[in-house]
Amino acid sequence: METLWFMIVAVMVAAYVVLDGFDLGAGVIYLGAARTTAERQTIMRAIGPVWDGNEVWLLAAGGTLYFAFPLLYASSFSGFYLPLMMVLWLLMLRGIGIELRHHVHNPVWRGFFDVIFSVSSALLCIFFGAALGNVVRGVPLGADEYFFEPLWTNFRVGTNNGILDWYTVLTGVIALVTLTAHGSLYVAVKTEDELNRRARMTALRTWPLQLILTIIGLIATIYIRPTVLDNYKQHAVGYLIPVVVFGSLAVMIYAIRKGQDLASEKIAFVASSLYIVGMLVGAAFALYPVVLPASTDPALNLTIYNTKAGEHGLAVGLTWWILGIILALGYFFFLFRMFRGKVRLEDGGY
Amino acid sequence: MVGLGTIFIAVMVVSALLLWRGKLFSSRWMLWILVLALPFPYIANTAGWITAEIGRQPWLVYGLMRTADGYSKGVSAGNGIFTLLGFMGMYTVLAIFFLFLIRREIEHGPEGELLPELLLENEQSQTGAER
Repeated sequence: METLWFMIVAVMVAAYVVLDGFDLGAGVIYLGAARTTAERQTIMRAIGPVWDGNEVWLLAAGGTLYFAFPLLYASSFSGFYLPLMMVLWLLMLRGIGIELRHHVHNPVWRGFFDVIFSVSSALLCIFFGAALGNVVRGVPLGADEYFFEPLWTNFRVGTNNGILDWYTVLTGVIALVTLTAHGSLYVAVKTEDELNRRARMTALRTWPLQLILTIIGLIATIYIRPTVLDNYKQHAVGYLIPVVVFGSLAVMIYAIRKGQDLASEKIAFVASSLYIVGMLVGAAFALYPVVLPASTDPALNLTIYNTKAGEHGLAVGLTWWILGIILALGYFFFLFRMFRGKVRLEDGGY
Repeated sequence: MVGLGTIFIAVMVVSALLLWRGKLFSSRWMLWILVLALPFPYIANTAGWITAEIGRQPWLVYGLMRTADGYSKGVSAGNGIFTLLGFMGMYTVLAIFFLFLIRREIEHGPEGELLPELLLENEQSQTGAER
């Protein structure tokens, strides 16, 4: 049962990163790729109907985590208190940027909120990447199952960790590059002409960086935590995950290079989504059954066994989760169908 | 909070009655009441929230879990104050934007055409002024 819930939480997190990832990425390229007012408005319309729905997956993932592994939730949300609050502030700023910019038709007002939107999007990508880095690297858990991490210490990976060290900065950069490409491909799917061309160019330029960083990330992860290979050695099926990751990267570059054509743009976007899912599933597969490794002593690791909620609760929760996820999937299917196709400003709308 | 809630119901009943009789838009006294009632929902909301939070103490989950057992031991008071100030700052800025935008909206006035009965009344008052 706890294994099933581990998978559910992993799926919810992956859904969040794939969905909110593209509108975060669209925010990252927003200032550079969209230069005229009309182009900026086009990006806003492309993500407008979906960005807030996408963010709800973060709440849903957090809620599922709280429900299924309460001790993990308590420990990590206390330990990561300051960075999580900063994430919350950035999410607020991003929402404010999107919602307030079009209320006043003044270049200074618009420019101000455009910058807020774009910068907070980029910082969120880095924060989420660093958060994942922290979970893979491990935190200084005490015997009381709690921990405290300063924002940074000496940038070395050891027992005296900070939130930021060279490894988590690396994962932050990987997340930024990955989501920039992901967002560019989404913008390419949703737009035409100059904006479409610039978005594809961005994805084309970030691709080599993404490939190199993926390889460096892989080596760095094995270097700082050799135990990540244990599950792969035991279950050879895990080796499919890196195949998916690198396969999606190959499909991505092939589809981007094919040029302006909606089918290839869609293929590139789907490949980018698969890449993200592959990376996250790879990390989850390597960690299982640990959910928060202790950098101090492996005996203090938080695992699905010592953090799970009661058996009865998990069983009842599963029924409700299935009902809820059917509703959510139905809504998302309906939403994306309704807003399918390229965004054209003259059509009016959101 | 409860008192304000009762007032809201009373105000809405009177407004609905006036609307039904077609007199709402010409009853200046009622329109004034509606405008002046604007801050009350905010007060009622906040008061209700405070009542729920303070009234529950010392319990976090009533009868099951005490607040003293529920707070994060890993979070220092300094961190708490820092984030509280951060939120206060952000909400202050938001409140300023809110007031600024609401003022703009009000100055801009409602969009679309005036309601027929109001148009009629405007014409009447204008012809009255000419006379």
